[in-house]
Amino acid sequence: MTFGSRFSLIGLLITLFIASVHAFEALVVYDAAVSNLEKDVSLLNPEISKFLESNSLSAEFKTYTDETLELFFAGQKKYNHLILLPSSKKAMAKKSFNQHLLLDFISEEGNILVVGGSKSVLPEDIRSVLNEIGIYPSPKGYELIDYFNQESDKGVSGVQLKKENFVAPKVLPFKSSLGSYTGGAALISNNENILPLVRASSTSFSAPIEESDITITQDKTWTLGKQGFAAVGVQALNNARLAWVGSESLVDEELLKWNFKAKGVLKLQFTQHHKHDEPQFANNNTLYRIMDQVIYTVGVSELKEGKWTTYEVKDEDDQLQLSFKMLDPYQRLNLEPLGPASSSEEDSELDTFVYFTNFTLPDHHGMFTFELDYKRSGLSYLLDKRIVAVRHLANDEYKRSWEITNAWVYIASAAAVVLTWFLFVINFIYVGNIDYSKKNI
Amino acid sequence: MVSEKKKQSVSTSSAPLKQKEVAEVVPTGPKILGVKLDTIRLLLQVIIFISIAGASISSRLFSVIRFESIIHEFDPWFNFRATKYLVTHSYYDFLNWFDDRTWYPLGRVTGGTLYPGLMVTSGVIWHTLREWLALPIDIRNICVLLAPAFSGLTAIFTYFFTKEIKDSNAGLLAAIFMGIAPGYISRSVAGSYDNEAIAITLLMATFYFWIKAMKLGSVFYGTLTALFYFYMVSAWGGYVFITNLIPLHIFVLILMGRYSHKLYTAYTTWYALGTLASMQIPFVGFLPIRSNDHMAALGVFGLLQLVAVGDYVKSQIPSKQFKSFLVISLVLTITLGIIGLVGLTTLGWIAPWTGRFYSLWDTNYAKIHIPIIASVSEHQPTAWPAFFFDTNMLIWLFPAGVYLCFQDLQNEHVFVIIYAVLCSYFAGVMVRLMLTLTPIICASGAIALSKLFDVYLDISELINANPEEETTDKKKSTGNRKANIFFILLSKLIVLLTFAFYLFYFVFHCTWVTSNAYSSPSVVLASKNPDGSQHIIDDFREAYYWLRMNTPEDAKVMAWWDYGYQIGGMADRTTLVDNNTWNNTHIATVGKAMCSSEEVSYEILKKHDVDYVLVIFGGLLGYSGDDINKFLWMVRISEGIWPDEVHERDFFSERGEYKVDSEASQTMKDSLMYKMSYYRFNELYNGRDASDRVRGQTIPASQAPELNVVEEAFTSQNWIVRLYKVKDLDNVGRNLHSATQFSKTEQSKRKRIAKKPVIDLRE
Repeated sequence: MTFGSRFSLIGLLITLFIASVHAFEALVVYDAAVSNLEKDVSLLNPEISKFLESNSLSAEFKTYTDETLELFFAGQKKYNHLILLPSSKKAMAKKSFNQHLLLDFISEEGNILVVGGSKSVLPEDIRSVLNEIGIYPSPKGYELIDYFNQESDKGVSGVQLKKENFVAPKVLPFKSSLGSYTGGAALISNNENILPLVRASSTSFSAPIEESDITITQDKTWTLGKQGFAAVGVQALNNARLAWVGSESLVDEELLKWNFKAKGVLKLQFTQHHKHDEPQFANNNTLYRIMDQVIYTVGVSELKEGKWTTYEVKDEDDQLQLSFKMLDPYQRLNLEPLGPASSSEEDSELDTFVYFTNFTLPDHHGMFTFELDYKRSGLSYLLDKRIVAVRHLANDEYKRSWEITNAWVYIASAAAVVLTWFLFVINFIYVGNIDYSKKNI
Repeated sequence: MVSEKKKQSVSTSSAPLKQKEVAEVVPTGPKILGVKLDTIRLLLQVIIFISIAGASISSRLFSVIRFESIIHEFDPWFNFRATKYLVTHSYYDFLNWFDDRTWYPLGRVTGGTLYPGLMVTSGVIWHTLREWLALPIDIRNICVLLAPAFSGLTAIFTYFFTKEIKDSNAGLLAAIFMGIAPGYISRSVAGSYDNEAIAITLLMATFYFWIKAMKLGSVFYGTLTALFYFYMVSAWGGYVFITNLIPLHIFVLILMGRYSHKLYTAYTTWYALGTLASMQIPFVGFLPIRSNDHMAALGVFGLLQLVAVGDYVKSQIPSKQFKSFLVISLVLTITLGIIGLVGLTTLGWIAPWTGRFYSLWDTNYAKIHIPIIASVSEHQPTAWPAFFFDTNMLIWLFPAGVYLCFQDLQNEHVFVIIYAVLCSYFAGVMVRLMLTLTPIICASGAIALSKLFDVYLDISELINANPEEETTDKKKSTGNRKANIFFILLSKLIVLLTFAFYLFYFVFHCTWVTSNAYSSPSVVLASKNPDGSQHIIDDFREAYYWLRMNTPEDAKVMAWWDYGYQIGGMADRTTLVDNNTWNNTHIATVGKAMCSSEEVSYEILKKHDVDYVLVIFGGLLGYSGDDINKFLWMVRISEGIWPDEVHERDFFSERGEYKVDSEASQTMKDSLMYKMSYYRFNELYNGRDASDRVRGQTIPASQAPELNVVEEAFTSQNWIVRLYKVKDLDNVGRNLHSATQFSKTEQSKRKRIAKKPVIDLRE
C-alpha cells in the first residue's frame, strides 16, 4: 500500500518533470557546417519553418555533435517529430543518439524526416537505420542524372521531374513550381512498409557527378532507371512515419503534413459485431452458432485540420474489407457505408463514418477471427482482430425427426413393428389358445 | 501401515475357508457357540469384503500421502477439467460443450467427443454429497479418490463373477487378488482420474450379469447386463471389448452345439437394449450399426435368429431334410453376409476398421502407417517381464485356472477361456491392454488356487477315516495308519505353507510395485537427496503457474500434444493440440513448427496466433521424457503430411545417429526445437561446452543456438520447462533474423565507402 502510493508519487513527479522537459514537439538536428541554424534560423528550409509555424509545433535545434542531443528521457521519448538535416561529417554524438535509439524512437511512434543531399552525407547511424528499413541513399557526390529530362543549359546536373515521377500524389504531389532536381537517389528494398514517393524515370541513373567523364558501369552507378527513388516514405506497423528526400527542394508542405501525421491519419473508433436478431449495443459476443446471421459494424474517422472527421471511402480500391477467418478466410466482404455517426455518446458531433456488413457465418465450427486489415498507401494502417468461437448446433437445435420428410418411412416402419408386436402378443396370449388353458387346468 | 492391512485381509480371507470346509462337512443346522453357522459365515464375509475394500483403497493412497491430493499424468487433467465444467455448468451445457480453449483455432466439440461416464459419476457424487448429505467436498478430491473407491467395487464384482464360475471360496480369493494386483492398480491409484478407473468395475459388473443372464436365461439379468453395458459405453472406449467378447462367446457356444432358449433370451435382450442404449452416447452415435468393430455383435444377433428358426424347423421336420435345409441356408447366409459386409464397407455405409484396430493384429501396422498411434508409449507391445511385474504369481496360476475351466467346460467356463485367450493376445500387443487381462488373471488364478485349497485343506478324510477304517480293515496296524496320516498331514502342510508363503510374497510384491512404480503423479517428480531424504522436483507446476499468472487469459500456447491437457488444466491457457489426438494434421502442423527452421516456423506460429511456445528439456537434470527424445515422432508425424518439406533422415548425423552434439546435422541444429532446448544452455556452464545428461552428449559452446523469432520468457528451476514468447512482426518490416542481428550490433563502425547493396529489384 505505502509502497504503491510512494511509487505512484514518484511516477507523478517523473511525469511532471518530463512534462516540464517535454517543451518541444520537434527536434531539428543539423550540422553547422552545412547550414548554421544557430546563427540564423532563417536558413532553415522555408517549407519546414512554415509548417512548424502553421501547426504551432515548437522545435528545438541541435547540432549532430551536441553532447546533449538525446531522444529519450527516463525511457520516454522527448519529441514527437525528428527532422534530420544533411551533415558534412559522418560522426555524431552517439551516446544518446544512435541507431538503436532511432529505431526505438520509431517504435515509440516518433516520426522522422531525413533530408539528404548530393553534397552532404548522412551520419553513419542514420544511414544504417535507413538501410535497416530498406532505403539505401546514394553516397556523397552521387547525383541523379537523366540526359533526356534536364534543363539543357545546366550541363549534367539537375533533372526535370515530371508528374509521372510523383508516384504517391496523395502524400507528395507534383508541383509545377518545382525546379530541376539536384540530389541523390536511393535504392529501396521490397519492404512492404516502404511507400515510394518520387520514382526516377527509366532513362535516369545516379552516378558520381564530379567525375568529368561518366561512364555507366555497374560499380560507378548507384541506381539505374526506375530502380532509383528521389523521395521515399515509410510507415511502420505502429503507424510511425519516416520520410527520406534526396534533396531539400523536395520538402513540401503536403509531405510534411503526411510525415508528421497531420493528414492521412485514420482511426478506428469502434468495432462491433452481433447477431442480427440481438440488440446492437450489447457487448461484443464471443460465442456464435454456425449459420448465424451476423452484423459487423465499424466506425472510421480521419484526422483533418487537427480534428477527427468522417472517413468516407471514395475509391473502389480503398474499400474496407472484413475477413472472417480461421486459418484461411471463410468470408471476405467489402464493408458497406452506413453513414456518419458520433463516436462518443456525450458528443453529438458526427465525427466518424460507419461501415457495416451483414453476413451468414459459415457452416463450420471453430475459433474464427473478425479481421479488419486495412493497409492503404499513405493512410495509417487499421488492424483489428476479434476472436470469437462459433459453436456447433446443440443437441436440441436440430430438426425433430417428424419434421424431416425422409424420416417418415422409418417412423412408419417403427410404428408398424410396435403395432404388429402388440397384436402378436394379444394373439399369442388370448387367441386360439383355449386348448392349452384347458389342458393346463 | 498399508501393507499390514493387506496382510490382515489375506489372512482373514484364508480363515473362513477352513470354516466353510467344516461347514460343508456338517450340513444340517450346525451351531458354534450357540450362533448359527450361516450367520457366522455372513458376518465373516462382510468383514472380509470390508477388509478387501480397505486393502484395495489404502494401497492406492501412496501418492496422496507422499505428495498431495493431486491429479496425475495427462489424460486425467482433461477429465478433471471436464468434470469441473460439468459441476460449474449444467449437464445440458456439458453435453453441448464447444471447447474454444483447445485445438486452437479448430476448437473441439468436446461434449460430443468424450465418454461422459466418468465425469457424470463424479458429478453425481459431488451433488449427492453436497445437496443430500450437506457435505460440500472439493470436486478435486472426489476426482482424486474416485478410482480407489471404485477399485473396492471392482473387487466385489470380481467376487460375484468368480463365484459364478466356481464357488465363493474362489470368489473371495479373486476379490483380494483384484483388489491389490498391480496390473489394475497401475490405472487406478488415487489421482489417476481416468476412464479406466471406473471402466474395469463396469467391465466386471457387465460380465457378472452376463454370466448370470446366460445361465438363467433371464430377461431381468439380460437387462441388467445391458444397463451396465450402457454405463461402460458411457465411460470407456474399451467397451468394444465387451461388444465383441459376448457375441464371440455365443458364437462359440453355438458351434459347440449348445444353443438353448436361455442363450437366445439373454443375448437378444442384451443386444437390443444395450445397442439402443449405447447409441444415446453422442460420441458413439451410430457406430454400433455402422462400424466394423461392432459388426460381430450384429452378425451374431442375426445368426442367433437363424439358429432359433433352425432349431424350430429341426423340431418340426425329419433330420434328413433338416440337413439339406441346414447346408443350403448356411451357404446362403454366409455368402449374403460377406457380400453385404464388403458391399456396405466399400459404399462407405460401414466405417472401415480403425487404425487402432489394425494395430491390434499387426504390431508393425501403426509404426508404418500411423506414427501418431505408435508414438504413444502405452500402445507399444508389452515386454514379457511386465506380465510378472503386474501380476506376480498369478501369471503362472492363470493357465492352471484356465485348464481347470476346460475340465468343467460349462457355458460360463467357455466364457472364461475365450476371455483369457483373447486378452492374453491383446495384452501382448499393447501395454495398456494389460489392464483388461488382469481381471481374468485374478479370476483364473483364484480358481486354480481355491481348487488347490479345496483339496489340501480338506481334512475331512483324516477325521472321518478313522471309524470306517476300523470297521472295514481291522488287520492294519494302528502304527501304520498313524504314519499314513502323518504323511498326509505333512504333504498337506508343505503345500499349504508354500502357498501361504506365495500369498504373503504376493502381497509384498503388490505393495512394493504399487509404491515404487505406480504411485508417481508424473506432474511432480521425486528424487532422493544424497542423505536419502526426498527431493521434490516441481518444475511443471512452477511453469504452468507462471503461465497462468503472467500471460493474458487468451494467450495461445503451443506445445507438443503430450502437454496439452496439462496446460489446459493447470495453466488454463488455450492450446493448439492436446492428448485427444483427433486431428492428425493439426498435430503435424505443430510438429512441423517444432522441427523446421525459424523462418518456416514463424509463419506457422503467426498463422495460428501462437503467443507462447512450451518445450520440455531434461538435459540439465537427466529427465529422459523430454521433447528432444520425442522429437523424432514430431518429425515423423509431420513428414506424414509434408513429405516434401520434412525428412526424417535430415535429422540424423552423417553416420545415421541421432545426435545433438557437434555431430548433429545442420537440419537438427536449425530446428526450432533444438534451438529452444539448448538456448543459453552453455551459459550454465560459464560459456564452456555443456553436457546433456539425458543423451550423454556435449553441446559445444561454439554451436550455442541463437533465437530470432522467439524470445525466452521463462525457464523453470531445473530447466525442465522452458517457455518462449513469439515475437511480434518487426515494426519497420524487416525479417526477424536481421532485426535480431541489428539489435546485437554495437555502434556501427564508420565505413569509408558506402557500398552499393545487393537487393532484389523493387516491384
